[in-house]
Amino acid sequence: MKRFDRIHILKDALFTTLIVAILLGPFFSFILKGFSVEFTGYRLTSLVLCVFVGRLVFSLLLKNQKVQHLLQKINRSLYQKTKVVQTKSHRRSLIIIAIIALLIPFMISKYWLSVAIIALIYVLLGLGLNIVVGLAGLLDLGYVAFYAIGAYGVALSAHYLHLGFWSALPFAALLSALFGAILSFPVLRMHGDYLAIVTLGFGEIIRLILTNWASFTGGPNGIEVPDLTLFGLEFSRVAKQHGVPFHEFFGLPYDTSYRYFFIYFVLLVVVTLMLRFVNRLKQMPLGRAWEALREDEIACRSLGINPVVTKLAAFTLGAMIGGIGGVFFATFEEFINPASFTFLESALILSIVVLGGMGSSLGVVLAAILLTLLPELFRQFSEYRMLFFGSVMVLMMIWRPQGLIRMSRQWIAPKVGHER
Amino acid sequence: MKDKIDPILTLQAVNIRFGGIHALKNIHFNVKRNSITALIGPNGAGKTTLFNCITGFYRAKGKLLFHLPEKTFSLPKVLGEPFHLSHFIHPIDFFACLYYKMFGGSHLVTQAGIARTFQTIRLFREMTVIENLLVAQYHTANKNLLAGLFNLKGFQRWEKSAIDAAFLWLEKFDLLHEANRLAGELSYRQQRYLEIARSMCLLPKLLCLDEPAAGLNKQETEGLQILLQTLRKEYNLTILLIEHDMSLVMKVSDHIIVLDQGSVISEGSPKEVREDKKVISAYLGEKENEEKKENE
Repeated sequence: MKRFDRIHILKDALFTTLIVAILLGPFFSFILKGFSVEFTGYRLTSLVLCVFVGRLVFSLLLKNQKVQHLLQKINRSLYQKTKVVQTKSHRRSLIIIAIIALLIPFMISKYWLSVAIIALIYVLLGLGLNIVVGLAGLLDLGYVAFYAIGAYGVALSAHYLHLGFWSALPFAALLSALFGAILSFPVLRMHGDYLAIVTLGFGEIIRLILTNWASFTGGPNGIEVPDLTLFGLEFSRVAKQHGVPFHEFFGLPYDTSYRYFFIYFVLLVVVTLMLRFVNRLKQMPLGRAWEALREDEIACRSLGINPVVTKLAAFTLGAMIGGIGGVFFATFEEFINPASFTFLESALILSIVVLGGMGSSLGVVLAAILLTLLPELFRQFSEYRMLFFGSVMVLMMIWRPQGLIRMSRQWIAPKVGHER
Repeated sequence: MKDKIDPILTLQAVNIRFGGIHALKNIHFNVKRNSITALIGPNGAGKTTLFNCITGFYRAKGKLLFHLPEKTFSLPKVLGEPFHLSHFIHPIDFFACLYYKMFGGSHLVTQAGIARTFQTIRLFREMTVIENLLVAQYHTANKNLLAGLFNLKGFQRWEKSAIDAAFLWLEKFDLLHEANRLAGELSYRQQRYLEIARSMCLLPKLLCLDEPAAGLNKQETEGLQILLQTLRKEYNLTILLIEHDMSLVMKVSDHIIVLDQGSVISEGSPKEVREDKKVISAYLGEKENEEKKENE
């Protein structure tokens, strides 16, 4: 290191210490005792020493070659460009993930199993909103409406039409898809912020209707949801839906965790299917049209793509997946009321998409699991949860606006027979 | 008149106003099939506005007819014109009008066979070059959701043909090596070419180019000129272009239309236009010295 550098570092450390002493010195060294102010010198000296040594070490570290290399690496990975990747077979890692996912319920307690189920539901919701926000670029702040419609779809169809879980699932999914189409049709000519505000309004409208139409929906008192069945076998202690309880059929002692296991595995299958569905969509003309629409709507119109119908498709499919999430939420909770479908829920789903990386399915899965597991792990700090969420979002926007995992583009090779 | 010159596009009494500004005043002209027609005029003459009317981005008043051998399209109708009295007498017309009001728009104009590029390049910058071309083939796509989801035969066939077509265009525009790069990373010339390639993917009958040579150097402009001529020859294409580069316009075009302050002040062959007094005063300047300089 050059002499000049050393002097510079020393100067820098002294200057920092001086500023800190001026700014923080009075707070640290003068202590109010009764009616008099006491000066404590040792605090000031320790503060000054800490800052001086700390700054010195920090600057010396920054000058170090290895540290510099490391920083550059981190920087590069933070600001990486979109990659074009050749589709590889991830079979091995997929099998490992599948085995872990299948074994998890047997290794954790019932409480954590319920957390895992909620995490899977949020994965589903994240995937649905990812179509609307990540792929089609339509900021939807009222996504919870479709979640609510799915949940109430299964509850109300059981109540009025006496449908079981398995027939209510497609019914509720189609219902929320229909609502997705109806609600979005009039607003699709809007862009950006205006669209966000209108969808925010729709989310609240649905919640208010569910609250106030008490004669139909049960209002704030909520409504009961039928449990799911396995080929007519029920998971309650005594049969409620004219079936046979699961434990009686197999001659097992009654245990509530059978039900959790079953919901978990059904959800796992649904999430896998939806992941496949969304990944296929990205390679289909419709998915590409969504992304093109997100990039430049005017160019899309000049290419013969009908923006209204294409956006409508995004909203409809997104709403359908949200509805399926709602069905599982309702079934898992066995009882729902409108208080579960507030704006906060929309914000949470949106932050899953933003945190995970717009358009990236893997990122959304990761973010959904993180955002449901972390609050459970840090239960004792639950008062600061929103503060934490907010600061994470702000930091992400500064350092990694593309999300945890950036969406990569697919490498397309010429089909055989046309290579040059 | 139509029989004489066989127009692909007819504009009659086209008007457009933006508030108090009368941007296009009573425009009349025909674009001859399989010709290269240039639209020139000083800045603010309304060239791009006229382009936006032709490609359906603005709704103009008047008659805009697009003639194909099998059918004639009325562009205002496809864009969702306001109801007339006659619509209430003919129920079919009424519902057609209602349909176009709900689902009509510039995408139908494109599907009829008018493609365009933009003055400022509008590529999908975060998508790869080849994906840009695949998006352009959306209207020919197999849109069956299930076929795509399960990757059925019909979908695979479409995908193969679309990718083949895209690579063919890339070869034609000398972009084959950039196929899997992001469109935003390309050089300016390549981006211009890609935009033209993307609109050619639509297999249009009429290609509208808005200042294709802007930002290109002399050699690149010459390359563009050759490209336009081969495109016209090989694909039986009609090209309508806005251009400020007079050397390109004079060399490449068969017919020139001069706009000034929202109206057509002159039209004819390059030679006729060059010698037209009105054009010289409006566009090339008053003094004769300047005119010569511009023409060189």
